[in-house]
Amino acid sequence: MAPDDPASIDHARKRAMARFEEGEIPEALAELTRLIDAPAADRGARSRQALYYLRLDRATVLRRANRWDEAMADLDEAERLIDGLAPLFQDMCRGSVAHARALILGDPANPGADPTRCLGELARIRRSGFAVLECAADDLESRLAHRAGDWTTAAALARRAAASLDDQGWPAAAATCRRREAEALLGRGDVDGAEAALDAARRHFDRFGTPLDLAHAELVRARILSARHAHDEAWHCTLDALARFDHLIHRFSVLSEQQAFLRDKLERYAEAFAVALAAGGDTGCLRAWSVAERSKSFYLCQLLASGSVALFEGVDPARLRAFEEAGDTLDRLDAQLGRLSRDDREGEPGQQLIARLHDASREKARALESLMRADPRWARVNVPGELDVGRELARMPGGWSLMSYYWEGTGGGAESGGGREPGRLHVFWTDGSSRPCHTVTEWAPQDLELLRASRTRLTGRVPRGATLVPEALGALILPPEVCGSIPEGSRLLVSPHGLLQMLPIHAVVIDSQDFAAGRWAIQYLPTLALLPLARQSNAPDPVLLIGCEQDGFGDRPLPDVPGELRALEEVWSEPPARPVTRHLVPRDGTPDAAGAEVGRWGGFGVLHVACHGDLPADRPFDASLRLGSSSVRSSDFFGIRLDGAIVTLSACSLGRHAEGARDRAVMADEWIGLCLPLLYAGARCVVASTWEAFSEPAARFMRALHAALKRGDDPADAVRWAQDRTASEIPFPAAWANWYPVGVPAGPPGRR
Amino acid sequence: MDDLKGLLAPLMQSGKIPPAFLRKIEDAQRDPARLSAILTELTALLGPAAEAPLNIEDYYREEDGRKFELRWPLAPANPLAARGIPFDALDRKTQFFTLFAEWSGREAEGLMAMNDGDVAGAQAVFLECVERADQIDVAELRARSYENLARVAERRSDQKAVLSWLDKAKAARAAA
Repeated sequence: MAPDDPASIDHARKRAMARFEEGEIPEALAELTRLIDAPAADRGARSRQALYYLRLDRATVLRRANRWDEAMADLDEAERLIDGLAPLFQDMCRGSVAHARALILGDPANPGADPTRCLGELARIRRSGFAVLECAADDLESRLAHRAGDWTTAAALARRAAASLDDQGWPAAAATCRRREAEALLGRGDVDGAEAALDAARRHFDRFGTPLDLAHAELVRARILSARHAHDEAWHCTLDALARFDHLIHRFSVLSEQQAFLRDKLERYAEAFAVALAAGGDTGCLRAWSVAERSKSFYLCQLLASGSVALFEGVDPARLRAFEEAGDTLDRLDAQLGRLSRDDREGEPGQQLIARLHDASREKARALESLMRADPRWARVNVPGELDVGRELARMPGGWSLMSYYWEGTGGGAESGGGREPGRLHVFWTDGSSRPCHTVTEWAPQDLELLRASRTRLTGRVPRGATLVPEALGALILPPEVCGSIPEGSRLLVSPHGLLQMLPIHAVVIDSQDFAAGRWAIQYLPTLALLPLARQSNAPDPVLLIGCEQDGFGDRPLPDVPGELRALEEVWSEPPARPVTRHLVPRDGTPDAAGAEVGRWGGFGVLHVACHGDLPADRPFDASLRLGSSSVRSSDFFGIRLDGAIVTLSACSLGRHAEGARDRAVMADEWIGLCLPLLYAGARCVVASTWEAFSEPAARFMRALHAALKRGDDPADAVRWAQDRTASEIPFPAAWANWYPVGVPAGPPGRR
Repeated sequence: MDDLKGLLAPLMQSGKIPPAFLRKIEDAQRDPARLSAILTELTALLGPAAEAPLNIEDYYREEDGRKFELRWPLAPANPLAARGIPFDALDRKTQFFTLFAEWSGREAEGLMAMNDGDVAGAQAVFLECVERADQIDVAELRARSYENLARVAERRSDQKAVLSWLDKAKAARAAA
């Protein structure tokens, strides 16, 4: 059979869709694109029909990858092809396109979601009168009702769709509807009905269900058990379901794939959280806390679980070269952009360069993805073990308290995705006796608005006199029972969530008097799930101080950098001195030329970098430190090992992380920026700024910080001390509260 | 053509074959000219989706002339059964044509069972179709049987099985 034979094309399409259903999204997308792009002559006589199905299927795959606009474009193209199809199929095909459009328009994670248009497409489907499309419309309306909490409608429509789908020989689709019926009945409080519906669904899933089906069904079972107060059994099912979800995440080797997948999974974690919390008491608290932490930073956890895998070692040199060349192109374009005059930058030449920059960035991302996919090291990264917060509390070094946040609902309160407003913030913490505690603060819409406004204000150049965290939010973020039970002087490890990420909780004012930083030494961590994954470190003695006063990217000069590096050299050279290497990279130089190539940074226990940083909001994977004419990019850190080093970045805004990238607006709860690769590389603590640092106060802060580190202070204590020193000399909090320490506390040797 | 389109509309809407359409086909089976006309109309309605009808002659091989065994009872609608002609009395080539047509009939029954919601029943029929295709050693029928099994797996969302059946179909055609 020739490759352009209709049956071959159909096989290839179905194979691609089967792989898609198994979670191989990029592979499916590549294959469908190959088939669509094949020269028309290769598709034979049935080209229009084949193309119609290919476009329809690719739209499905794109939708699941959150590539909404491209999915809609494929549907438009599919619709154009319908006129050339056999008359008998045209109405059915139009109905199928309307259904696919309705799914996109009705998805709250889609920034372009349009409920009115979604309903219009639904009406088109129903008007077509096809039985199978009628089921699809029932199914979609059931989902919409489910999201709106209209349990009765959701259950009734799901039941009707399931019965009709069974009647027409679509058992898998029917089982999915029955599972949703079970969930809706649970929402309505009809536990027996829910159990019957779930049993019916499981009769199919147990034999033919995908891992995702089974995980989801197991979680519904957990919810049923929880509703019957069989909390231990429910917890057992929940752990089983979460383990299945974790193993599914394991299949994805590229971050963007995980994010699209996780968007859905966060809802499941929210359900698991409710099941866990329902147990009540310390048990419920610890279980819910564990679920909350498991729902954050999947990717970083997965990477750290595979910390022993040298990801760039042994990869195909050609792929690695392509990746490095893409990085060089980015550097060149960045530098060209920097050299443009302001007028040119805002005019045609600048726009052209920016467009080329985006192309180059995409090329680099493609090169990295190809590298990740081709290299089995990335694909076989280990699945993180199950997190038990109770066990981690027992293992915490003395003097530390823990505090975690979790926004109830979908999407963790992230800026996009989820679709529901976060209104309840769960706060977990340990008191002076290391006992787990839990409280909930209720956020009114105006509180959330205030929080969002603060987050927006605390980016870029923050005015000297700016209010950092409004006092009105203080008691919502640090409720009195929290403040009253964590002993003053403790070190506090904070795991923020959603809207609280990057917020300087250390700058929250308590009781209209103190900043939180005045009471505790605060350090942050993307998730407590990183605690059991932290590698035992043995940071070497040498100290690397590297900086750049004037880079080759056209950034403004940083005249304080040479002095800052000299001052820190003095600090570290005082007896008992530690070996110090200081490099000032000239405008046309590079770290390599200065003898400080990134590959050698692993030989230092303290790394201080003072230069301009760049974290393009729409290209967070291109975050970089600008040293001379070259950039040290976040991806460079995947190739090195930092053995417990403390990293201080005296560069603008590099403590931030992105909440989206290109067309993938939903990034779940991942810290995409420089922290992620540095922590992966093995940094014990990263101290970076979350907004543009003030130059002179930054130099003071760094001197104080390094002096404290030199005398052996824990990084959290050192940051607190440096903040305190800076605050005493410069009386505006924007000058010191930008410094944000992130890392895993070091325990006594052998503990971690 | 409008008459046929009218008869097929309920099929398109509900996925179930309307009795009137079935009667029309059954009647036409005794009248090759009418059957041919219906097939032509159907082809026009289905456009490029219509499978080109298989020419049985193309698949017949005389081999050593050995006759076939009747392993499954003939369908009641089969003219041999209706006329009481024993299968063994036929020559090898006529036996082959009969078994080929029987495969087509069973495939249609399997597809109808699937659309009527009897997915397990359809699977059993398509597995039988594989055996029937093996018996007369027609790779194309074997491949089509596997493709139908892939359709069953697709409806069950059993993706591993989908891939496996599609691979078998591909291999069957490649071996032809």
